[in-house]
This record gives sequence, structure tokens and C-alpha cells, in this order.
Amino acid sequence: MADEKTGTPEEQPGDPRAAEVPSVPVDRLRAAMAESVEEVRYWAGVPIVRVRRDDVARVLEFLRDDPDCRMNHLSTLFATHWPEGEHGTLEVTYCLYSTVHGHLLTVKAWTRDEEPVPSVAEVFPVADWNEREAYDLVGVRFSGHPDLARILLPDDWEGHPLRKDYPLEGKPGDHKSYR
Amino acid sequence: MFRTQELEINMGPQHPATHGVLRLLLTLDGETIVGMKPIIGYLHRGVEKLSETRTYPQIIPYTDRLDYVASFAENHSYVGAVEKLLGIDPPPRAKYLRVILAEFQRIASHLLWLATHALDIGAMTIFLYTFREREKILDLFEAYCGARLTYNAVRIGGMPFDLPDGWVDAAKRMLDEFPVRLQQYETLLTNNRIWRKRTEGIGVIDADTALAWGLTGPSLRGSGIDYDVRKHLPYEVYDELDFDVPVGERGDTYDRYLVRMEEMRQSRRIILQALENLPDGDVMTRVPKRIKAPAGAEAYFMTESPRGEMSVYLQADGSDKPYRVRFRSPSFNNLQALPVLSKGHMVADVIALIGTIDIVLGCVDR
Amino acid sequence: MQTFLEAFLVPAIQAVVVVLLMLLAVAYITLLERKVIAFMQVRIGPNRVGPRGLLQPIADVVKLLLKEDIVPAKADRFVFWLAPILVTMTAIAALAVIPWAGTDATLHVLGYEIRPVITDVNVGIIYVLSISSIGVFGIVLGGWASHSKYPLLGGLRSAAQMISYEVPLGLAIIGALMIAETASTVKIVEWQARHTWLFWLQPVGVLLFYIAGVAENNRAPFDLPEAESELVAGFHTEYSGMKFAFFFLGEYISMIVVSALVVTIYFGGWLPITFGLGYLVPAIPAALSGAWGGPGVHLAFGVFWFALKTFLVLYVYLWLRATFPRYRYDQLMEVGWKFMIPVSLAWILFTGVALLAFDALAA
Repeated sequence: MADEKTGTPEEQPGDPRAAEVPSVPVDRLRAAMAESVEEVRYWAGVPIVRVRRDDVARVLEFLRDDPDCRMNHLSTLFATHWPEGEHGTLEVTYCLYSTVHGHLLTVKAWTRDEEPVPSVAEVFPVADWNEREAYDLVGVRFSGHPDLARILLPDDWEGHPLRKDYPLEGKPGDHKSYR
Repeated sequence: MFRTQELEINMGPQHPATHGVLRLLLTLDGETIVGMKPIIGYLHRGVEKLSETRTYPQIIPYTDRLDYVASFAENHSYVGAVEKLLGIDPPPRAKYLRVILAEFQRIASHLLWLATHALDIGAMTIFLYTFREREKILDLFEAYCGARLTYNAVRIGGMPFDLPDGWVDAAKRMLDEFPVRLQQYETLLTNNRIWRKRTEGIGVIDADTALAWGLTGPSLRGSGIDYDVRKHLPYEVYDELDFDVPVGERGDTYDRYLVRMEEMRQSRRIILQALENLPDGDVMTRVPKRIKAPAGAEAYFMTESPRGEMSVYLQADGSDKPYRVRFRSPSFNNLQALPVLSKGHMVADVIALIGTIDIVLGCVDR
Repeated sequence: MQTFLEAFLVPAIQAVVVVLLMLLAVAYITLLERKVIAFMQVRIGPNRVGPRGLLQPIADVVKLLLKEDIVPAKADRFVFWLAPILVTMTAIAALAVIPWAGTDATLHVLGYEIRPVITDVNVGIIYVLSISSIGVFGIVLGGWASHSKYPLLGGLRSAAQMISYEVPLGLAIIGALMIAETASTVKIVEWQARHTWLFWLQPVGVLLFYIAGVAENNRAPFDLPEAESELVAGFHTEYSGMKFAFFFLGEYISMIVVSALVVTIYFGGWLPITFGLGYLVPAIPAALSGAWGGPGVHLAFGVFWFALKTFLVLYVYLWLRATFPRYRYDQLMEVGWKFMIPVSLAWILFTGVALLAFDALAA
């Protein structure tokens, strides 16, 4: 059905769930920041916009401040590890909602290990802990983050457990805090 | 020879008022807070990682353990996300059942919130009064699914059971006496001078700041924004039901208290309407035995849990297990705003503020 | 001329009796508190040890005696040990001047005169106030000696609370002393026997005194030094076993002292409750105070009425605890300095003016 490891959209053509829906923020983004938008696709009625990694903070700021978009609520932010992804190995997803106009939008930025994604903590303070969590569990680096430390795991934890190459089983002694 | 020194104090992870294993590193000048750093992760169980190794239906019991005082809301949120991912439409009776149980869950959760919030501020009697009513709701849940706390009571494509005989009458009896009980709580607190002194003007946050810090649910509505997922992005049958979204004005602890009290009344209204309009028919739709989602499919489903916006993001890879599950927990995001709320307040206010943002550590640490 | 035995031995025996009775009373007040609050909170309360839980206090005492007595490693051992004793001793000492029956209940045993009060000093009320202010040092020292952060904060809070509420506590009773023209606990009740309960003349005074007394005893809604929600257990966080029990004992005896003082100063001490019928039919108060019997009967009736009134005042303590949230530290100071002190000063002024006016009219 699909290439299991790449995560590229390979759903069957004509799947009604992938149908395009009209979206003001996508139109505005295409008009104002066309060079940042790399790809737009849809699933279950929500547009999913892939943007250039280095522009992500600017894109979110534009979406927040543009009077037609007013995407003022960053609902969540998380990272996914795609070891053989087409656009990179780490994908950061931003879920935005406008409490003014009711738009929903998913923004994505792709990166590779050690290549930082611009932090959006300046634009949305709520991103602070969410980015720390993405760093802690998946290992995404964020540039410009005020305090990129582990948040859920102990400070001396090794590795990032939500990566697909993280071992699911272990023996005593594999980790220094596991005795 | 003499000098003043700021006192660093660890509140938690074991502390009677941090509602679990929250640790706050406080810097105090006398009793005034000059710095606060929440330290979390003591209850991290890796639910998101565990979910990657389980099939779609197997994940539902894990969601019980996120927000263990409102586990129905978490079940609902996860199942809703799977249904949105796959385009499954549950039968109308199942939708009504979900609304009824979700609103009962909201009342139960708010009662627990009121109990602990008041207890932290020193009013201990209200704790036992609210537990009396919560007990009745838990009895209703027990009659429905056999469990009192971790229900595991939603299935992909509907609900596991229909209502047992006499359940509707029992629910109506509980709802009939509920306004009287609610009035009793209000008598003890709403116009109590000490209660007002302890909550008015404490933890004031204006609407824009609250939204920027990701506050949702009653914590956000206390600041005057009417963002309620049930109204903004209606799911199940909320768009067919008539209810109001209470909002506060000043964004302080007292307004958030009033908002939650009114929400309980609105939930009662919703349940009564839903019980009235409850359609007949099946509670389960036909779903494949092995639930698979096509690669590239991803869905974000938002619900209004008692604590705020509880959302689930699912990414599929074509197998019968999700590739990535993201639980957007309201407690995690609300807790983040605690240092903002507590700026310039005193130690005793921290306790009131932990109560007012209504966190559950299972939901924070996942 | 009193002999040595009369001056020393008789009060000593009385003191031992009073202390033992107090220990028993405190044990059962804890049970009462748990039962009363359970009743207010729609639950049952202790009901496992003995019939209806009546042996629960005994079980508690045994538990506290047998518990390991932990002293924190860095604690100042002497002060840590001294603090609970200071709290309890001062609370007990204050009981010395509380009369539990009238002078007509004086017994004569083996030629010794046994009065129904351990000692009647002419500054009895002031003695109670000064002794109780020493008691708070026990709390401050206990918080400090634990060498731990939460007890330290609790101790600091109680220091501030002590200073703030000592003042209105003292000012509140001045009105009553002005009217009765005495500071002796026995004479003030005798004045009330001749006239009327001072409560009717000093309604504001009794309220102020009671509120300040609740704050002085660190009871809800003023239980900040041991605020369990923010300071874990406040000044006694590090205490366990018998030392903890002594803090507990001190707190409950202080409650009894304040209640007994309220009864003595404002509600006519050992006088019977007659709902004003004494003015119509003087025989009723006489009958209710056992005037038909000898000193033994007088004593029994006096103690009964005194204990009943004290219990009713104590009950309000429990009621308050079950009803109110807790004040915040700065709000407590605000209530003390901005409300209690000005109002009590104004009340003294009002009482003085009223007394002068009354004298002028009478003359």
C-alpha cells in the first residue's frame, strides 16, 4: 500500500479523505510567502503545509499576525522520526487554530539530525515546553530556544526514546540508571 | 554582618498540595515568590512510545491513564482521532451516549477540582460534600461499563455497550438534585469573604497572554475568551444541543472558579437535552477487524476535556499500528503558564494557582 | 496566717488534679472534634476503637507514646526538645487562675481550706495573657530548631501572628475590666452575679477577644503556622512521637484556656444559664446554682455550668474549622492591624464614654 518507512504521502489517488478543501490561511500564505511554502496536501479536511525549515518561525508569525488568518492558538507542536524520510529524518509538526476565524492548519518543517529548526518560543510562548519535549524525546535541536534542556526524562538520560532506532528492550546495565 | 538571603525551597515532588508528583523550585523573598521553576517528568510512562507498538484499539486503555480523573474524555479524544483518520462515522445513538458520558465526566472532574481547590485554600468540608455527588456519577459509570475510574469505555466506531436498564432514570435522579447541591457549595464559597480574598486578583492573566501561553479550557475562558472546542469545532452532536459557554472578565482565580461552577450547570443542561433526544438504534458501526490506516494519513482531533483542549494527532504508516501518536494534554500546556500566573504572589497563592489551572500529573507527564 | 501547707500543698494537689483532668479533657476533645467535624461533613468519624469510637483517644495516646522519636540530624537538640515543653507548660500554667465555681463552694477538708480555684490573684486576666504570649515562643523556637525550611517558614509566620494578635487580645478585654473594675477572674464573675453577664454590655469586646483568641491559638481560619497545604505541617513538620503530642496538647489546652476565659469574663463563669428569668423569679438562678445544698452541691453545680459553657464556646472553634478557608499571611496581618486594633481601641473609647455618661446620669 505504501512505502512504510518514508512517510511520504502515497495514499491511493482519489481517496476522498485526501480531497482538497478551501482554506484562507493556505491562500494567504501562498500569496505572501510563496517561496517558503514547499508543499500543500490535505487529510480529513485539514490542510497540511510543508514549509522551508529556516522560515518556520516567520511563517508562524505571519499566520498569527495576518488579519485574515489570526492563527493565535498553537495547539500543539511535536516531532516525528522518519529514519528514511524523503525531505529529512525529523519532522516537526505545528497545529494551529484561529479562535477568531476558526481556521485549522497543520504546518510541517523537516530537518536532519544536528540541523536545528528555528524555535518559535518567541512567537508562541507555549512552544517553550513543547520544543523541549520534542528535543527530549525525539532529539530535534531548536535554535534560539531559551533553555533547551530535557523536560520529561532525567537530565542524564542517554538517547531520545521516541526515535525509531531506540531499542525497545534492554538488559540490566544497558543504561547507567537501569540497574 | 547581617544580610538578607533568598530562600530556595523545593515544593514537591512529595508535598500534600501539589496533586501528585509535581516539583516546584521556588525562590522566596520572605513569603513572596521571586522565582518559580516547575520540574516535571516524575510520572512519565512513555505512553506515546508505547502506543507505537500497539494496534489502534489496543491503545485505548493507555489513554485512561493519562488524565485519570477524566479518563472518559481521553478515551473519547483518542477514538475520535482514529475515526477522523479513517473517516468512520459512529451511529447517532453512540454519539449521544458519548456526549452524555463526557458531560458526566466533566461534572465529576470539576467536582474533584472544586474539592481539592477548596481543600488547598483551607475549606475542608466542601471536599466531602463534592465527593458525595461525584460518587453518584461514578456509580453511573460503574453501571455503564463496570469501571469507576479508568473506563476504557469508547470503541472505534461507537460504544461498547448500550445503556443498562434503569440507567436513564438513575441519571435523571442524580441531575434533579444536583442544582440543590451546587447551590450548597456556592453558599459555602461564592460569597465567603475569606474565599474571595484568597481568590480575587490572584493569578490574573489577560486574554492574549493566556492564549499565547497555550492555556485552554476554563483556565482560558476565565480571561474572557470563549474558546470552547464544543462550540468552535463541534464534534459528535454538540452542534445540535443548546448550551452556553461561560466566560470570566478579570481572568483571576475567582473568575475561573465561577466559570467552572457555571460549566457544571451547563453540562447538566446538555445531559438533560441529550437524554431527551436520545435516538434508538445500534451503538456500534461496522469497522474492519484489523484497523489499518493508509500511509501518509494524519489527523488531528480536538476535544474539550474538563481541563481544556485535549487533542490527539495520529500519523499512520499503512500498518495496523499508528506510526506516531501525539497526545496534546491540557495540563501540560496549562502548567507551563504557572510561573507567569504566580509572578509577585505569595507561597500560599501557589497552592491556589495549582488548583485554578487544574492539572493532573498523569496528563502532564504522559 | 497561712501555714506552709496551706500556701503550697493544697494548690499543688489542686494543680495535679486539674492537669490530669485537662489531659483527659484534651484526649476527649480530640475525639469530639473528629466526631463533630465528621457530622458536619456527612461522614461517621472514628467508630472502630471501643463502642462508638470512645476508646480512640486512648489508642492515639498509645500510638504517640510508642512512635519513634525522630530528631533531624542538624537540629538544635536542646531547643528542639524545649519547644514543645514550653508550649504545653505555659498553656497549663494559664489554667491556674480560672475559677470553676463560686467562693461559696469552698470545701474544708481536715481543716484545710480548698477553694475552687488554684490561686486567685488580683491581676489574673493579665497573668493569663502574659503566660500565653510566652507559649508562642515554643512555636517559634520549634520552627527554628528543626533546621528545616518549612518549619522555619511556619515559625516566622507564628512570630508575626503572635505580635499582631497579642495586641487586640489584650485591648479587647479592657472594656470588660473597666466596667467590672477588677482584673481578678473570681471578682469579675462575682460582679456578673450581682449585675448581668458582661456579654450584654460588651458584645463587640467578646467578638474581638474570641477572634484574637482563635488567631492566638493558631486555629482555623488562622492556622497559618501549620498550614498543611502550603507548609506541609508548618512548625511541627519535623516533630514526631511524644514531642509532637506535646505540641498538640499545648494547642488544645490553649483552646480550653481561651474558651474558659471567654466564659469567665463575658458569660458569667460558673453562674447558671437562666435566659434572663433570674430578674423575674430570683428563685430560678438560686435553684439552678444549687443554693439549697452545701458547698459540695455548690461545687458540683458550678463546675457543671462552667463546663457546659466552656464546651459551647469550644464547639464554635470546631464549627469555624469546618466552615472557613484559610487566610493568607498578609491578609492575616491586615485583619490584625487594620481591623482588630482600631476597632478594639474605638470600643474602649466608646465604653469609657458610656461609663462616664452613665455615672453622670446616676448622679
